[in-house]
Amino acid sequence: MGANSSLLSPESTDGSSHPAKIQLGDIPESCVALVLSYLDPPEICKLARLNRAFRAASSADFIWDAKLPLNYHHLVEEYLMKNPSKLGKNEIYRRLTRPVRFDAGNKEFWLDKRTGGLCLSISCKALTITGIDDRRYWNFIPTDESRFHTIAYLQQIWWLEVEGDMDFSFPTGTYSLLFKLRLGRFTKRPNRWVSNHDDGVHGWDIKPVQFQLSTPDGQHVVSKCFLENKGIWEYHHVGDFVVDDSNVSTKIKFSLAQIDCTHTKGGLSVDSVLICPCNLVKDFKALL
Amino acid sequence: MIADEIVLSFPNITRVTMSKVLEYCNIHGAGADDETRAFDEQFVDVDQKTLFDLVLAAHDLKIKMLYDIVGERTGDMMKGKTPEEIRIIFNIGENSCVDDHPLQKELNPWAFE
Repeated sequence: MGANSSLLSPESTDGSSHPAKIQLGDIPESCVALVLSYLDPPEICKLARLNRAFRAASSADFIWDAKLPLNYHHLVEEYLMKNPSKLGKNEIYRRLTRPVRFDAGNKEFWLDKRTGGLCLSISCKALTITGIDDRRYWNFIPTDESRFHTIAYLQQIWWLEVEGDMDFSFPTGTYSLLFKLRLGRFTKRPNRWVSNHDDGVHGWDIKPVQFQLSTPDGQHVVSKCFLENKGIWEYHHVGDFVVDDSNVSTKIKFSLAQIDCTHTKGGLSVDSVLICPCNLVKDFKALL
Repeated sequence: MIADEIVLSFPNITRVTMSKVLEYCNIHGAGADDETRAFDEQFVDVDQKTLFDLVLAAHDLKIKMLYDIVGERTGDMMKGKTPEEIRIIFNIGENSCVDDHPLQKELNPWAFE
């Protein structure tokens, strides 16, 4: 390290010291990298613009290696590209924060930029919906309100059953599973008046719907709730599950059902199922 | 004639900083416990200049534990601050070289989307 006496020289006897501005070359890159490693990725990237030393330090592999999930190598090889060893860890992190589509484009996963937590979204097209082939009951409707540009809309049915499963190598952690649903065909807008009589929403206040999720290792959650609040998308929290080992894929099954055949129900929009680290649920809900 | 004492010279570390480093090493000599943790908390509760001096000293002297706690504290002090605020607080100059990175303003746009 160069001997720049301006900052590091002994302080003058009267206690005053006015160090000249630290210039590039006085800050070992590894020092800067260590300090940056305690910040979250957006902040690291912000400070990379400070000067050349910070820019170089911000791409230090060890910083990003710690931010990536333990099984990132598997995720990249399986879903992004073979042989990612040529990419810096910074670049790998960047790529994984963009949604990675798979399964014929009906599913996607990404890392949350700030925390590195893995999030996964499953389109309604990848769900098993009873009666989906009968247009009297269900229709797929194109819309920009969905990240998959399609929602499934329920006109009317006796037997509501929407099931799905996901076999994925989740990094270790606790995850929440949520259904993104809306009562009604349209989202309420401030300047649009939607008639309460024509929107087809009915039957949800008679009996609650039931959500379930389960894993092969015996985790099982059942919850019930009445669907309310017409015209807005909501994330309905089904439950949480724990992943202990990121080297083994987790197979999770989940469902939404209301099969009480004494009444019909209808006017329900189903967008997708979201799986995310449980500490990010409030962030997703805030986005709606 | 063989010298009967060894002189170590660290021209880049001030007397004040070195005495703090030695204080840290003495406290931590016996291993970590509640007392050392309490000591660490007040040890890093210093002004930015002192902290930065400690980061550089710990780096040069390769004292990992000290390096980690002062590095973490410095990182904490940077959280939530703009690059300009950090320039001022830590007395960091800009790089005024002619061949500055052409994409300086567009570094890592993904993090801000």
